[in-house]
Amino acid sequence: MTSCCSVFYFRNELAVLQALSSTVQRVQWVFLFIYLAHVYIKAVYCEVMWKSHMFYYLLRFFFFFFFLNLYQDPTASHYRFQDDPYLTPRTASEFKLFSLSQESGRNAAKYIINTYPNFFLKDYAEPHIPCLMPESLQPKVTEVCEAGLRELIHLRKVRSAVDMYDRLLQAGTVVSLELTNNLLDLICFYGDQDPVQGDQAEPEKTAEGVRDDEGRFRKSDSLHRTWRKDNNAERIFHLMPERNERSYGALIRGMVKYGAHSKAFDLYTDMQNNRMAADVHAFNALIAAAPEVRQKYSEKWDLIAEMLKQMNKLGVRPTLLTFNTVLKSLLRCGPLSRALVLQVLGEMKALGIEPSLATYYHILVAFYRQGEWGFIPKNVLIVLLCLQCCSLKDLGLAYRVHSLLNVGDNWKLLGNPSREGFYYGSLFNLVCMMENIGVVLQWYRDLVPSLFYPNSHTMRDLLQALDADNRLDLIPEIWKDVKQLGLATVSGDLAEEVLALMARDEHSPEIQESFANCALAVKAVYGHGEQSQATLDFTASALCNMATILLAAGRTDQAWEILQLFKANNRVPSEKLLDEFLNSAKSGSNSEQAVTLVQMSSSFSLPATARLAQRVEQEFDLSEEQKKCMDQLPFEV
Amino acid sequence: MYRRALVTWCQGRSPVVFAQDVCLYYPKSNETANLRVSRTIVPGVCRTLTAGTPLFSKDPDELPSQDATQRRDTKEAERQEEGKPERPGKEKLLEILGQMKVEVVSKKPKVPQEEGRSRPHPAEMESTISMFQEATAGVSQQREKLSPKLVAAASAAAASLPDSARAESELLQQLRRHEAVTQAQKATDGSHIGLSSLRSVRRKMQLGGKRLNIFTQVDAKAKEEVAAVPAPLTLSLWDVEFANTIGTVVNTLPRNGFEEMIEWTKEGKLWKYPIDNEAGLEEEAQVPFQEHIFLEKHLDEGFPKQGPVRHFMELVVSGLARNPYLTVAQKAEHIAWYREYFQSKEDLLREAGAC
Repeated sequence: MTSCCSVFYFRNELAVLQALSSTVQRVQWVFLFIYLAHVYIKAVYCEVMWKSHMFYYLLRFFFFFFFLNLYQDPTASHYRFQDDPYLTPRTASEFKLFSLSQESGRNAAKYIINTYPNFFLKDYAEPHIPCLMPESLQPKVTEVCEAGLRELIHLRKVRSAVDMYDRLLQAGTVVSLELTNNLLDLICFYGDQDPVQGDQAEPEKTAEGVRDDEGRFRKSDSLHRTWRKDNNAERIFHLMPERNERSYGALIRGMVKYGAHSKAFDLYTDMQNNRMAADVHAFNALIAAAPEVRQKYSEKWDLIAEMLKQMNKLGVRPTLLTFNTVLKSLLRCGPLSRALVLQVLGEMKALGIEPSLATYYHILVAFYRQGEWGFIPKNVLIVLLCLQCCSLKDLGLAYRVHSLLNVGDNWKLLGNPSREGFYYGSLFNLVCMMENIGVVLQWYRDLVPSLFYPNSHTMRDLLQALDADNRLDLIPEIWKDVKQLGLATVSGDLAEEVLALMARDEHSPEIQESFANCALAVKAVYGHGEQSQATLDFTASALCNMATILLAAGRTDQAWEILQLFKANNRVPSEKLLDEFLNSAKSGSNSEQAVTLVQMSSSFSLPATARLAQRVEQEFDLSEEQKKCMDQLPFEV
Repeated sequence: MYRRALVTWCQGRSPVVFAQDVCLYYPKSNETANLRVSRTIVPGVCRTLTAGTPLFSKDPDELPSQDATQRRDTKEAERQEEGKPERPGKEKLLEILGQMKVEVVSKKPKVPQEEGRSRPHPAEMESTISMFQEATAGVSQQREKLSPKLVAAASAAAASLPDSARAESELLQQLRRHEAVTQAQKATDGSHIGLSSLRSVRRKMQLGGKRLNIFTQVDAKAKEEVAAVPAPLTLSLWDVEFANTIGTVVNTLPRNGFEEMIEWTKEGKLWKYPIDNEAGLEEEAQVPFQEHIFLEKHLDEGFPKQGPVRHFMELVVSGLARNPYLTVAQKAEHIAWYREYFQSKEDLLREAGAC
């Protein structure tokens, strides 16, 4: 209870605390400390009772904000998951699976409550909580009347509403204009089909990862639906004794939404002939449809400008949506877009309409030159900004974009987890390219895996950064991460790159040891695994590098095992490798191995066989049998 | 060290750093390293290098982009100069770079440019246009250190402007004008003027009032009506669904316990703090207390005026008057039930003599 009191008393301070704590910058610690000192002094000054208790509560809030997840905790997964080591996702696919399963659990519970409402009617909550009670989705009014139609429209049942309307007309009742307009709105919005019910939705729809509050009324995928010719909307429209602008507007919007663009323009000319003024929404729809009905870029722009001029003539005031639609259509106009986009912005400012994020998004897309990333992410400004920074290779700008995310509620703009992963991926890519290894590793620790799961491209960037800063001793750790992220078996590139980096240079003995262990771990990824997981096939370079690493660490037996694998997997060892083996055999004074090497080389018909044989004869003391073996081998001296 | 930084800052826009000054900043490195480093750093670079980093303890705030790219460029320059370095050489080089502890002299003359811009910025988000400006300015700054890349940089930066050919020619003209200047000043001033010219060109094209000039009539009308147009009185289906789609695109999943509690409070699952005893009882607050207490008016019809039934009902009414848990409608319902009951049992009561 006293904590509630303190909350109430210090609610302004709490808001500031919350705002401060939502930042990730460590420099804010200092400000927070100064701020807390101020609050304590305020408590003392105001002679609040139990002021020492107040300070205790403040300290507890301090504790909350810093140690209990209000800071971005890099060691924890997202809050929505259970805080259990078994139940935290380790890879991107696990993340998706776990969040989908949570969502489906909630949907299942909602389904059961709504299907058997008689078991859930007793209301214990005081005050009443409406969202926990069962929803009634069946219409209560059964007879044919206007109230029934209204209810069906409210419940978004398109087919039943159209049936009810037809029956009303047959019964001879005159349906009011407003109700008919509502019905037209409904039909045009849903394209003359019922909205997709929650239990029939494909799992990809919920893969957006965002909670679907209105699971049943989720907007259906309008790309799959087209405006049919024998549409209920058109039929009802023609049956209407009188139509007003709203009816025309609804029909135009529906047509544009479902792809009947030229029909929408025909309807618009119809409207003009009837001397009706379309409202701003209809104009928006027409502007969106304009690029589809003309072929040449200049014609498209002319049509859009024509629409805008008519809006001006009729005195229809354009809104932010109008200009955003203009910008979106401009993007389809090719090279005209760059100059015109800025002029549209000027128009907006002249009219006093403040541009929104979508405006800036469209403007950026107009100027964006596609760099190494081959596609433009849809509708996410922040991600686009980050991509821009990548292509411009500007790290300071990227840091500023990232700090924007920590302001207020901006983190919500990142959208669903896949887009978030895209953003963090490009940010980390830029950091790897531009910063030194200390900063790179700091970012790596902060971002992975609490904020995003890197893909193999990102890991390769990280390896390159390690290489550039000569920190190859961290490779075994990185390999462990790669395995945990499930990237090891996706494609052979990462494993090969890791092996190549380890095998390339000479290092100190401890590092060689760790490399050798890592090489054996990588070897386990190849070959025929025990489990049913996908495994990779051995490649020649991988085997060569593995053998080199093991030899450098002094593990000759395991290196020899690898040599046997060459034959087993139909791969040819390189000559450099055979030289190294020969050197190790020489250091071990093992002439058996030397002879075996030459035999192996000749079995592969390598051109270096002669040279190897010569070396063996010169450097080793061979017994008589071994000399005979050597002579028998078919090679040119 | 700080004095030096102050001096360069106060010198303003064109600090001149000579090669040997760089040595002042490397107290720990040896002579050969000094000479090697000073030879390889491009003369006239006024930005100084940042501190080297021991692993894992670097504060990311202290590394602005220019210095990082600069380090990389100098590293690359060194690599190119010495060909493929041997590994001990490379390690030594990295050691040297790691030992450099230098102050950052921020050179970008931000203040005059920002004064020139009188457009108001939204509070939280700076306009992407200005960010883009500074980004391209930053790009041109970075690339203009090495003179062969100036032209390439100018064309790259200009290509991002709307009218690239004109911008490029302007930039190149201005760059050619400064060829006579000494090498040290060329790098600094060239980049400086490149920066300002870029901004001026951009400003000319962008904000100078170029607009479509379509909505002149609406604009004029809007200036006449001062009062804002009231929001539409009815929300159509389209508006509701639009709001829903916006809600689904934005990610609202809570990141911590406090945000979850906020979500639940908005949904109504959690009480609002500070706890209000009368939360959820807003309609009841409108009902005056007389209607709860003076319930005899319900006994006027349907009940006999005297007798045990009336006596009983008066007791019921006095009990209901003391009941704080029922609404007025529920109390009336109770009394109505009794009315029906006694009316159905009327013959029985008449027999018993109580009617």
